[in-house]
Amino acid sequence: MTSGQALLVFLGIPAAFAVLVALLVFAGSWTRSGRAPGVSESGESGGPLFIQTSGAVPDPARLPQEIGASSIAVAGGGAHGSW
Amino acid sequence: MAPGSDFSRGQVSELQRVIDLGRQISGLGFGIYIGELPYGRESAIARHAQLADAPAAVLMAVDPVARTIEIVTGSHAFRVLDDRSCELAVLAMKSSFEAGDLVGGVRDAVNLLAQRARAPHLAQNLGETNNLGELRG
Repeated sequence: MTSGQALLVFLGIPAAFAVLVALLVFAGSWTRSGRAPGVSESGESGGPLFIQTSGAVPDPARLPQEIGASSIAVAGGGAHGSW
Repeated sequence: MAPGSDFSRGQVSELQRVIDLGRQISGLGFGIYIGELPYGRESAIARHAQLADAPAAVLMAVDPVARTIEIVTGSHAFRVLDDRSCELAVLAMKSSFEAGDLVGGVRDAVNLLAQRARAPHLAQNLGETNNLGELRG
């Protein structure tokens, strides 16, 4: 075995293996980077999802604060559950 | 799907397509909120108020961490979508959520509500047709 062949076997193969492992480890994060953020309005990844019928965008000025009498007047009914 | 995880573009577009279809079927606007609801129903009502044409809109709000579901109907939407229909939708979502299918549960619930909201229109039209028949007879 020549010194070049020895170098290839003892350095080249481990280096190639290390590159392969790194590719496998980071492949998952590269895939996730292509995902849509949860909320189209805020653009924050991992945030809540808030969508509605096309052609209408939720109006943040209408009620950013959580509880208000006017919002209760708009609501007519509904249901509640947990799992 | 794990609570708080991101949604893929495919899932978001699927939900968007479903609520658009729901509007075509029922004439009601639909909204989907999946995220934290710190004050429970009050938070869901506040989110519903943010929807365009909120009185004629229905919001399905799910808190995956607290594992709660809230459906809020607007004051006009309530006329064609009673609380019993909403309870049925909640049951449909619960069974899917228990199986770990968050998107599928919401999708099925929107479909169910859209169909239920269409039913009164059909019944009303049939009633009008019968009345016309009686007048002609």
